[in-house]
Amino acid sequence: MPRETLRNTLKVHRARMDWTQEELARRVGVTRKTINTIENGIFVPSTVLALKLARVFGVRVEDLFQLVDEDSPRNYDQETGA
Amino acid sequence: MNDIIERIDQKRRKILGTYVVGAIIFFGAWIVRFILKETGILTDPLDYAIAVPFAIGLIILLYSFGALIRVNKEIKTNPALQETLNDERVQLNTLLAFKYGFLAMLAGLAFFAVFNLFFPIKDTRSVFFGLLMVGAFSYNLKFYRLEKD
Repeated sequence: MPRETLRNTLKVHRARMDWTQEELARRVGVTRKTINTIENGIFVPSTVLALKLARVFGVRVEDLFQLVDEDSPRNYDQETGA
Repeated sequence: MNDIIERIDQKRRKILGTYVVGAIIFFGAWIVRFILKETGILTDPLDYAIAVPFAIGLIILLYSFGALIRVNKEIKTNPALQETLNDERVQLNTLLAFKYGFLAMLAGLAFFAVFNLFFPIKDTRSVFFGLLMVGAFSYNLKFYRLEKD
């Protein structure tokens, strides 16, 4: 069974919006540390928080979070053609 | 508002760190004294020597515990602040720390059970107190480490 990890593009979207971690944290109602741990892959957010994050960026959850097969450089989007 | 959240979050972590240091000193002194007493090698000068870190640890513990209560009071005055500072990551860390505290208590129980085989424990009240300390301190230590990472 392939090992899968969750990757995210939170930092990219945050940079696109020119928001600090604090600003993003305020918009979704969590602490800056929570945003930091999500960005670094330490903490996996709940579905509710993932949806909130997608909403504030105006993107789909799949654009923010991707399942990546560790044994392969391809990511989930590439595998599914999404 | 962001500044307040950040300030309180950092303050809470710092106090928790102090609490953990106090707990380690206090518990360390207590367990050394317990083992020496139960094995019958605790002398009066040794007992006095152990009393020093025990007292220092207790003072740090009480001071940081009081500070933690004050911070929690400050958080409770504002519902928005309370919701943000107890977000899902903090809630998950609380659960993980609770699990760790429980497992540490089981390990402590196993330690006392094995210890009792070789040196029958006379002071059973100390065992209850020790297990409570192991549970509470392990919980705080794990929570601090999770919050620190």
